[in-house]
Amino acid sequence: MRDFITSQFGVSVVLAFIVINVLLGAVSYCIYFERKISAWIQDRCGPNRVGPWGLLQPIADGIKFLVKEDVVPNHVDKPLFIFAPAAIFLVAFIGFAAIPWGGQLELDGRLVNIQVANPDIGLLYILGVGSMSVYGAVLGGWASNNKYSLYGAIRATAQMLSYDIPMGLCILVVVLTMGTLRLEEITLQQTGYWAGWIPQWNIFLHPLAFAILFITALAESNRTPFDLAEAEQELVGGFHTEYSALKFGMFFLAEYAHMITASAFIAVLFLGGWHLPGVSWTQPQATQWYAVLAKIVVLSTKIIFFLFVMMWIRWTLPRFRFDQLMRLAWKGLIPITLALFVLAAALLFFDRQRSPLWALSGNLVILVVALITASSSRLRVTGRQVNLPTIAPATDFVRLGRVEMPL
Amino acid sequence: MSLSPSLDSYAAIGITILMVLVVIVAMLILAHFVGPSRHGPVKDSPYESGMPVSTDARRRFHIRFYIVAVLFMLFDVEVIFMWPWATVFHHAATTGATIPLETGGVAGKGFLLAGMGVFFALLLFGLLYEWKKGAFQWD
Amino acid sequence: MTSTTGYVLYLVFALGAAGLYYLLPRTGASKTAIGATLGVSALVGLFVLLGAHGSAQRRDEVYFYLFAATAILAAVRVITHPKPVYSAIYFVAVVIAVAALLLLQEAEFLAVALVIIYAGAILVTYLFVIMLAQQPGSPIYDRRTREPFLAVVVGFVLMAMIAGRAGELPARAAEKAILADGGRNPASTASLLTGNTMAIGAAVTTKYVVALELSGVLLLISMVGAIALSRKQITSDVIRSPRRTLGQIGKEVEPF
Repeated sequence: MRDFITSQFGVSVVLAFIVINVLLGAVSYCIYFERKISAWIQDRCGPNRVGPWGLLQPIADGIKFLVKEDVVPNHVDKPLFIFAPAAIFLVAFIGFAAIPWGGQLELDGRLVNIQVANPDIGLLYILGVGSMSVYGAVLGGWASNNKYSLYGAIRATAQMLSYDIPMGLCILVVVLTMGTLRLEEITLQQTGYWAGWIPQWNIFLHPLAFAILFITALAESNRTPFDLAEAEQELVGGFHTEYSALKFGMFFLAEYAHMITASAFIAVLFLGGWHLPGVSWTQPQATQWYAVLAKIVVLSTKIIFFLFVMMWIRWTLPRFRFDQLMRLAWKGLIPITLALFVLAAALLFFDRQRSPLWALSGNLVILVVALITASSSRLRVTGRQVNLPTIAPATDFVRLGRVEMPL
Repeated sequence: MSLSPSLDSYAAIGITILMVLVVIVAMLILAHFVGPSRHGPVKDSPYESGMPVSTDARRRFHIRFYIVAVLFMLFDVEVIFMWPWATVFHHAATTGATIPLETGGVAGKGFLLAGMGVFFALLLFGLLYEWKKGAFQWD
Repeated sequence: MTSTTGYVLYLVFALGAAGLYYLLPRTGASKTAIGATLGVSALVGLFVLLGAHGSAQRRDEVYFYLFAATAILAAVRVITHPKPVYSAIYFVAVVIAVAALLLLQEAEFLAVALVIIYAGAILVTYLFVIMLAQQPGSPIYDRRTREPFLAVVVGFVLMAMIAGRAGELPARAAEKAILADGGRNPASTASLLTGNTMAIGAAVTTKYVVALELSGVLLLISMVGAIALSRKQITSDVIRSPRRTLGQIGKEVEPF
């Protein structure tokens, strides 16, 4: 038994069990912190009734989710109605399996990875799992047989599909720099230093790719400013309008789990994963339990930072309009990421892929060209208004009603 | 475990999936049995902000969404070719390794770059064509 | 493969084809029970046959049977389910099961590529098309198969032909050996092929580079096709002017 527990497979199973439970707890507390942060930003108190500082609020919420009526309306497609939250929940909670949490641990003289699975294609595994998250939204919306739900589902799907391409290309830039699809190895390659003190994180090579990956992560998890799928003023609850009780809770938890996995993924790709600059463990200590624990804490801190930024953005930026959203993806991010891809390939061809000077100047050139092109374009960011008829006098106000809104 | 070492990772993923499935089934069963169940004609009808339901929700929608899906599919297929290329190209560029060709020569990093360059140019041309045709114009 | 085994195999396929014929959706009295019995017995027969003739007993064989059975059953549901949306979902199940089969063969990249392309892109497009074209209610062409007998016969012949050649496929180990030392420059080639993904990348961008460019051209043509398909639909409604982009519909219409 002890032999099994200390083998890589045993560690993987134990780790998977721990991470699923931690993730379940973390997502409920994410909701608490979302509310606390929103309160802080808007100068309110936030939840403060249940327990000290409202800390028991997630438990109260959980109980509420459980004891509320689980309505399955008559008009829905019942099997798919139940399948949709299960699908989105499953996809959101298995993506973490390829995340390297804390390097290697020495157990009974053997080195085991603190990672549930370290397949050759770990990066593509996360991408593949992420690409499946469309189904929860599209099936939930279709099965609900509700107009709000259907429109929300269609919006969500079109948005997720559109932002999948720049996301893939950004990650491709990392692969061209690192030459491996193993996430553990990508972390290890970022542990060096330039000039003795700047950590060799990918963010210092391709900051633009990092920024775009973060934007696409927001879009993929349907977060503001990309939460058109559940735009309350237009679509009530979006694709989960008809859901109640724990099924609604599953959609909710899945969104936060998706955020956590995406944050961990970005931290591993661009911020060196568990690497803390200035701290380097030598071999005997590097694989002890305290080192592994420290690494897990470092990675968790980076994840928490990203979560905080996501929540901060949610309570700061207004929502995009759908045409702006699509334009940003297809006319903004995709051309920029294609240019970044060409840049990464060219740097690699001239063997400059790890040279920050070349990479940063390339990024700067792309950013400047993109900004100049965007600012000299006829269409402004608020494009649609340009094409609208000129503002009519107040008596002709009715006329504006003719202009059709995009779906 | 009895599997080959490279399959160990996938077995671990499989076990993770099973664990999450247990959580899901538990949640669905709990949700079904714990909460009350009181049906009514209003509760059973689609929610349309209180308005009486006029038509079936599953209507046709705008063809733009279909174009987005098709374009995404095409781009996704193109990008999937780039993943294995990126790993090989990185290897060839950093170690100087070459791959023998059937014609007798060897393919170094230049050959790999040119091969993907042509493919990439086709992709770029497609993108520009779509752009020009207004497929990305949503307003 | 001996000829007796071959005939038994054909027999099993014929059994499966008959089962499928009864399973296909029809308007009259349902014969699902007969079809399911025949189909399951065919599947069991196939697996017994495979088990008896497995060249090397592998310990992960049980997973092969698990995923193969999942794939076949889900595939049958794809063509027998009366609702198109469910067919698409079962198609996703087929894709995932086949990806698992590929993983058992250690073809990791192919497995993930299959999931990303098929489940993540193509089937989402299918779902969109199904939603785009759906009619209220359940139309006749969803409830009835048009030519069940001919379709089953064609499928049976195809399967029998593939299975008849199955014994002639090169073994996996032999294929690997060719890949690893077929080159003139063994040292660098061997160092290249450290992983499945790299091996595929090396093959695609050197030996099959023409095929790669051709597939690029094909994808380009598909992009043109997507535009051509949708443009006709849109421009025929409101607009007479031919030179107009998709987004400009309704712009020229005067406000009343």
